[in-house]
Amino acid sequence: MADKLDIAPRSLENGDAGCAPKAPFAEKRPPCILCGKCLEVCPLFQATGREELSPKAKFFLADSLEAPGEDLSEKAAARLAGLCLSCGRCEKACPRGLCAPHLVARLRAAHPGWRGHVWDAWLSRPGLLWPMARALSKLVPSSLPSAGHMAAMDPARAPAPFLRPVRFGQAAKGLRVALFAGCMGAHARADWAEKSRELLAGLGADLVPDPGFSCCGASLGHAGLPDSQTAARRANIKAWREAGRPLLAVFCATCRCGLRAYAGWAGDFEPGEAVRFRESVVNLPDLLAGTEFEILPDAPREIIYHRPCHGSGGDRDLRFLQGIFAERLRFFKENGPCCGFGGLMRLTAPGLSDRVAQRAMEAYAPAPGAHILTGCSGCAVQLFANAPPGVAAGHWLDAICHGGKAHI
Amino acid sequence: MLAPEEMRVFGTDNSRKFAMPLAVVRPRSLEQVRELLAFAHKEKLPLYPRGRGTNTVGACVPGRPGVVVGSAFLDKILEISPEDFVAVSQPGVVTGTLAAAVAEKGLFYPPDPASVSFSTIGGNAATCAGGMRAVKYGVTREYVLGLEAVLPGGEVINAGGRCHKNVAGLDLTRLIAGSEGTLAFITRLTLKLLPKPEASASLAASYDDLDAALAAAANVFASGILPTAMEIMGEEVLRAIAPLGTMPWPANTRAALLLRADGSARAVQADAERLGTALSVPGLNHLETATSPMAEKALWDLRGLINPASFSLAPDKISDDATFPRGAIGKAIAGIREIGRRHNCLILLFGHLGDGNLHVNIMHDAADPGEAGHAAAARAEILELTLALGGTLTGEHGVGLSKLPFLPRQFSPAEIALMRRIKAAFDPHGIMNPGKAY
Repeated sequence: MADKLDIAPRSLENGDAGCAPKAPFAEKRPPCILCGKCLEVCPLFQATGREELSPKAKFFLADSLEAPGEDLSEKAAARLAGLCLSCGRCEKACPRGLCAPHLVARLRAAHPGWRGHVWDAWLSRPGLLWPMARALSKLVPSSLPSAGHMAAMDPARAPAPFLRPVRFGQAAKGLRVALFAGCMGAHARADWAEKSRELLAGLGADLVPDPGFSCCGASLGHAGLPDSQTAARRANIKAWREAGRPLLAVFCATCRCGLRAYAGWAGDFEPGEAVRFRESVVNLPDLLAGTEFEILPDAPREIIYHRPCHGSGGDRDLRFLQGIFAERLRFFKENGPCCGFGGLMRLTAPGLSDRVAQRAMEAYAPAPGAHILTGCSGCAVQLFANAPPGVAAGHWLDAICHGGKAHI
Repeated sequence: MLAPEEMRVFGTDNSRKFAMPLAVVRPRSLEQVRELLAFAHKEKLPLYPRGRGTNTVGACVPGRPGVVVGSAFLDKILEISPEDFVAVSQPGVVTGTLAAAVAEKGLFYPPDPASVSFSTIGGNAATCAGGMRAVKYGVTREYVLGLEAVLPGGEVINAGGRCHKNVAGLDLTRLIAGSEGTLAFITRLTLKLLPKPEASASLAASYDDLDAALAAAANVFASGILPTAMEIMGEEVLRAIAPLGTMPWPANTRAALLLRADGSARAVQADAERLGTALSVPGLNHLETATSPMAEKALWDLRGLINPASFSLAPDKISDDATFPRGAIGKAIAGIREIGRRHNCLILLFGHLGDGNLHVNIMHDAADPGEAGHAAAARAEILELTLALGGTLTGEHGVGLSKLPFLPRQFSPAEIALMRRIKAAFDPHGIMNPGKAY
């Protein structure tokens, strides 16, 4: 039996939009009514003002192209498929529950030659998705970029930490836990994974040796690579099972969202196992409940929380950071900005992705010396790359000192 | 913009009618608008002004080959003046964004169409958008003090100004507001602002039958209070939303009213008490008053469930906004229900009871020719009934393409001819949003 912890609700959470357990590749959806509600929430539309990039434009075009007698035009499909951040905000706003990321994933998957196109884009350009590509090297035979190309994710450039655990809570004591580090944690920011393990050790968790997890699959699904997504999910379920079905501690909101979505997927779970899998996915900050942190004297005066679009999971990370920083933490109560990372769109339209990020920075208006913290690996990298001079941005794990000691 | 895949969404709006534009342009300056209107006038090229295409009647659809002119990049708030109580804005600003910006300065822009958070102020002015607050505060036209607009040919006019009273000359401002883009392209709006009300309170009242709800509504006005909003939800609507949440009223409720009062804190408290008394007529089965923002929101969220709920009933709907003299609402609702029964159509009735503006949603499956035919027939009969009761075809959505065939029932040939002569004075070649509105 997996250890039970009452922190993983069974129902679909707010933050699961865009990753919700559905079958995105064989859908029959109602037509878009063109009401325009998606315009209010789509970060890509808000940053550009371009209606042709909006969810309703995508649905209307897809509806037109999918009408009987009309073949999907390659040009239209490629255009549609490239320009969506897959944030899932439209799904929550839509009165009919339409989800542009699902549409886009399906169009991407149906596009002739898409797989090769994605992998070309993925592997031939210096980019942020390489960690994921590395994670998938077992699944897709291909040459891989060298580690040197990942300077953008160099841990040495991470901002100086300013939080030190001084007393660990009891929430994870004795629990069998495996760390699900995700692509970024496994292949680019090993320091995040290392700090997570140190925290779990401090908590007294029974840390299972790395079962050899793959990508969570969320970004692969959005990218229109359902076969790769399925392969990644199978590999993870197998590794989890073989490790004795431990709790899966995650520190990336998108991974958490991606893993939770397994339960609604007609995969190769044994009877009753799907629910157990979902219940086993826990957010690392939840395990840190009751842990006290010391804020070091040189900590930034202004701390800003960036809420990830995917799997904000009832704002668990926010509550965790509020517990530490109290009034010092600034955040949007609702509808905060999207970082614009956008998974595949980071590659297909980096300019648009950056524009969304700049809009986020305008919304946060960080004071010089401020530090923006988030709980999603993709957001962390994107915010880091787009923070104005003098402003730091990264994962909340960046703020934690290594080995439970301050770096002075 | 010329690529058909990109332009496709600019050929449609919330009506889902569609025609492919020849091109889409999004000017960034007054000068670019002038050039465009000079060129189009010379070439007799139809132009289709567009905010974000949220109107429901096809007003943005480029029916004749022409160029869609989007206001998306004219999206700056130019001035908010607490001294003059005006805001000056470009047309592409989202109305909700503008309202929030003026609220930060203690000011108030009242019109609140359902699309307030995603439609533009230019589009709201062009269609004279209404909303729930219209019962007390009126519609968009009443807040447009001045307009800068470009005429076909490229001439710029400045109608009205910053004065809250202005009777000099013919009122071109109020003529252009609500003209559905058929006269000129609006490039700048000067909007009237009010002091922001200090407080508000909301009430929900539900009844065993519709007549009780209507009697209560009449009582409200008789009590000497003009509420900020007074909405009604009929029994079909209540049944539709019931599965989507916990309803505050008992299951046998046949009609519910939602009301809001605003003003100074003490006045609101007194008004809320008086409203509660006025609403307490025989047949009342539940009454509650919300005074905190969160409690108020919980009540108004019930109304927000109608749209999503409607699609669980049928895949398609014909949505009209027939508007009646206040005293005729009872007859109107009974008549519309009877039409629904005759055509075996589910008709959702709700809307702005306070100003006689009913939202009539005829639910059907457009893929079923029988159902589609019944829905269309029911709609025609409802519009006839509306005119017979002294109502108007549209209280806030506009005429666009959808209601154009019915317009000769509401206006005489002389009246329509006069409208067209006025258009010709602005637009001699008929290039501005041709084939729409009148």
